[in-house]
Amino acid sequence: MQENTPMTEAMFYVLLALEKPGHGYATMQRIRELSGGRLVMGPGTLYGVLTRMKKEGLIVLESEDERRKNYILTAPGREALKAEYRRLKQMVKDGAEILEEGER
Amino acid sequence: MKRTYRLHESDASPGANEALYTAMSQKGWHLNKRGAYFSRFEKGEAKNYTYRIEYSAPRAFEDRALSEEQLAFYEECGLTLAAQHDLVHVFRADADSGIGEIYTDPAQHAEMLKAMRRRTVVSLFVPFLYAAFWMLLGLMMNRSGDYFAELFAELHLTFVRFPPVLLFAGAVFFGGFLLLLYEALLMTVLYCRLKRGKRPRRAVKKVSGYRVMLIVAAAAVLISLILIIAQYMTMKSGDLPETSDGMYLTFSEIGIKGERVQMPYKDNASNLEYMKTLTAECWHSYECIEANGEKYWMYQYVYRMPDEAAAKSLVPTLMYEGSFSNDLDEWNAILTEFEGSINFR
Repeated sequence: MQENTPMTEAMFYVLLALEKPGHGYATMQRIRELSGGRLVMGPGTLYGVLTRMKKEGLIVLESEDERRKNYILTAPGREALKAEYRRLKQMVKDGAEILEEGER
Repeated sequence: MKRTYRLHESDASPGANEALYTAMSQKGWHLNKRGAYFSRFEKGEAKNYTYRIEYSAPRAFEDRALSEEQLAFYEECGLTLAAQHDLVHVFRADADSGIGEIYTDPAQHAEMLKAMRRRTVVSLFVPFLYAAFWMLLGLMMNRSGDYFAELFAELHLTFVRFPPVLLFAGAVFFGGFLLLLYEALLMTVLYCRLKRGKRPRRAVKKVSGYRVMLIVAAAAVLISLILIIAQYMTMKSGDLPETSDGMYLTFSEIGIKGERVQMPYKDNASNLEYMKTLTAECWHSYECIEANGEKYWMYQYVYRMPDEAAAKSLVPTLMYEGSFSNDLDEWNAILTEFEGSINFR
């Protein structure tokens, strides 16, 4: 994934959640916690995102337990997450300059 | 364990099927097996279940079942696999578990229809490819160069001799093709709806076009099979009488002047078959006699049509299919009389 390619909200939170190793269901619960209950992902949506990220090398299998698989960010995944965080921060900063000035 | 079966909706109507399974569970019938057209239910306690249908999207030659990892993940989310057939997987969860949609984003759900759409399109083309292959083969092997005239003559004779067979073939191939076409249309409508961000419609259809078409096609197949059996029951076969007792001729009536044909000599046992079809009465005779130290044999097909117009329409086909003498000297014109009608042979 290129640095300047924006991520979807779902992808951002999945990468954020997998800063610590987790399996699919735990990741879904963690995303709900991190977003303050705002983002609820369907199991099919999350599974599709995890499959895509595995393919792109952003996450990797950390351990396996019977049918349950635990994933964690890879180095490129961590870089992509940080790049997206910087992009979002810049957007907020750019918006704040205009919008907060307007409120004054 | 009590069981019951229901004709379910097309695979391209997941919402209608989910609503059907939910309604059945509320009556105590829980889905436990799913086939191409029927779903099987087992009797239990009435429960409020939410059903969700997931499609697998394998590439060519990949396994059509969902992976163990995906099934385990869905189970952790409260979804249990109730039944699976081909690309369709039906999950259920307690209605009060708060389970929502499998796909939060309908557009992502649309992407999962890829394999289903591919299967439908391929199924639509298969009959054309099949027909094209046999037509090409027929054209290559056809020496007289009039393949389509031969084909029409065969179909016409089949209509006279075995009309239920044409009905059966029509119900299976034509009916099957129409069903596939309708399913392809439903699939396209579902795909466009999901792409626009809308969920599948979840409502039990009391009357649906798909089920009506399926029932009509199945009824046509069943009726044609019954008619085929009924027709075969009218068939009588036995030794050829010494004098004709039906609408056919024997050597004793026409004489032995004629020409050797390509159809082979069988044996000395002359025989007669009679059959009544929906469109005609049919006599098929094989007569073999010995005269002047030689064997003479004759194959004969006779059709009694319901009216003059039907008989006249059959003449070109019989002229096309019949064997005619190559030598004018061997041509044998016969004037016969049957129940007041005069026929020239």
